[in-house]
Amino acid sequence: MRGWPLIGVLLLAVGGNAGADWDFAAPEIVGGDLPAGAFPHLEAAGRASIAVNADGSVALVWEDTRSGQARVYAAVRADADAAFGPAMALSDETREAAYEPAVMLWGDGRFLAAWEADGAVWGRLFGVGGPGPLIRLSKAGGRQPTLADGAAGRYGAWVRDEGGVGRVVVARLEMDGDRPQVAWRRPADPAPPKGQQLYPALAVAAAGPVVGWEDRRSGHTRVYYTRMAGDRFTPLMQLNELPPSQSARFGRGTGVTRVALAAQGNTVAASWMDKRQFQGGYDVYAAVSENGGAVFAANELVQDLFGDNQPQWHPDVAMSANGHIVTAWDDPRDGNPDIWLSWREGDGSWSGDFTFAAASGDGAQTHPVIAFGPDNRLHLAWIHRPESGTPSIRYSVGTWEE
Amino acid sequence: MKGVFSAMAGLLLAAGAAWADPPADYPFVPYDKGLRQAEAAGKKIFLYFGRYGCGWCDKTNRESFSDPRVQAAYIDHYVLVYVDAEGGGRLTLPSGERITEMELGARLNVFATPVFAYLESDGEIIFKAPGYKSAEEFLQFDAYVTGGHYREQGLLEYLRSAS
Repeated sequence: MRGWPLIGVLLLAVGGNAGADWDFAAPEIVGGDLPAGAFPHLEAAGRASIAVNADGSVALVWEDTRSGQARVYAAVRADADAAFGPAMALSDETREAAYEPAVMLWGDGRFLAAWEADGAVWGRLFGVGGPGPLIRLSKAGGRQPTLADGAAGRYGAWVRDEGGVGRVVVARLEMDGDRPQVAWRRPADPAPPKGQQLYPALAVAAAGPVVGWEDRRSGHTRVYYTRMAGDRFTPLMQLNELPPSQSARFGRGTGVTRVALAAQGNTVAASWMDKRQFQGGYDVYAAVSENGGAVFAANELVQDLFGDNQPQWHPDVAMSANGHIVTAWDDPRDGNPDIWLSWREGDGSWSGDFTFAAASGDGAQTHPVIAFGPDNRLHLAWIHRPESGTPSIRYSVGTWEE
Repeated sequence: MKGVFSAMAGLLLAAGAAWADPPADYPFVPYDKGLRQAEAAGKKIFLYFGRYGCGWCDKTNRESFSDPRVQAAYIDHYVLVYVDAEGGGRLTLPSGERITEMELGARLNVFATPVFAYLESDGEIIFKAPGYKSAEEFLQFDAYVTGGHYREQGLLEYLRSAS
């Protein structure tokens, strides 16, 4: 199995990428070494666990059990030459547990995190100076929060329960004095939910926010999306394509899950896990919209043929200011899970898959989260689970070398 | 702490059971609860990875789990655990790590659904059986596990010798 990457590199070289590649810096551990028996997780809805400021500062949020309870933490890398600062606790220690934090750039060198605790969504501004006051973002119950910012504003989305059924709501977030507040909350779909709506993803295009989510109204899971036009969300569109005919082989649907979104200007990229070719488990699919999320073009298979017979997990997508669209995921094609990257070529095809030494090898490297900085460098964090010992969060930054 | 996790997972999974696809008339329970029940009763665990809208899961439910012999044997011999392979319900591994249902599938490298796994009462996996299985196959697997043959023989070797 270990021979495959070499073949992949050879194919990649003949596939048009010769002389152009990612060069990743030596990784660092974020949040310090955890005590034995503690577990870190990077699992925000929409994989929104990392954010990069215009000044190059980077924020990462995660959940771990270093205190004996699931708590939310953040760390900030002040600038391109600095290491991450120590873990700062964000969640309220008086609550039972906190899960699945997301983060976005807020401005003035600060970031906003949102997470679930006690069945509600909470938030907190933070920066190198530490965290601000705790705020409640969901009016009633809420879970699976995600966040995104852009020129058209700052937004959050989460799932609230309505009679036992999850419904995705989107909130516009604005500053009120010294803390963020919810300016408004609206369901992404104005119709009462007819099936579970789960795991929202957000991106803010120049034209406004775009939201995607898993939707079970059709007796199987589909990924739907909508965007805000004026003061309302547009009619739902389906992101994942279905096979031409439904067969007993696929049942009511092929299996799609965990969408992520990214935007630059009015280009919006989506990635998700999709089992339409079920023999190898989930594949990573992507789609791109060039009109602010009004319509996405045809679905694109991301990973190369060397990952075809293995399941892909935890895909994230990022878009740079100069137009690079990159996905990252993990799969066990070499015997254990490693981080893999692919980038979209000019003709809409995807590159051969790429990994690097620090994000592959012994143990498991999983749950990548990615974001581009203003200098078009790619910031990547992931979970490293050694074969024995305590897992950790690792971070590296990559430069595109022509 | 485990109690808190288990209670939360139980609540989430109780809500989730209506939109996943466990077979009717079987007392499937969430993962955490199943591990606790199995440990207390000294019973083995039958773990069903299903997916909302999974055709092969429906076929297995209709054609195999509807067999009264399978129903009687599996209810009697196992603690029955159902996991929604795309679900976000939280569960706690024997290591103490809290993960989601989908993450359990990733850890076990579950390719497709359904996947059936037979576990010792402490959660250790005996073997996994991916894909649709007939009632006869379920009865053969049950005999292999409950007869303790897995301690001495691989599954295929057992099936050849038993045929």
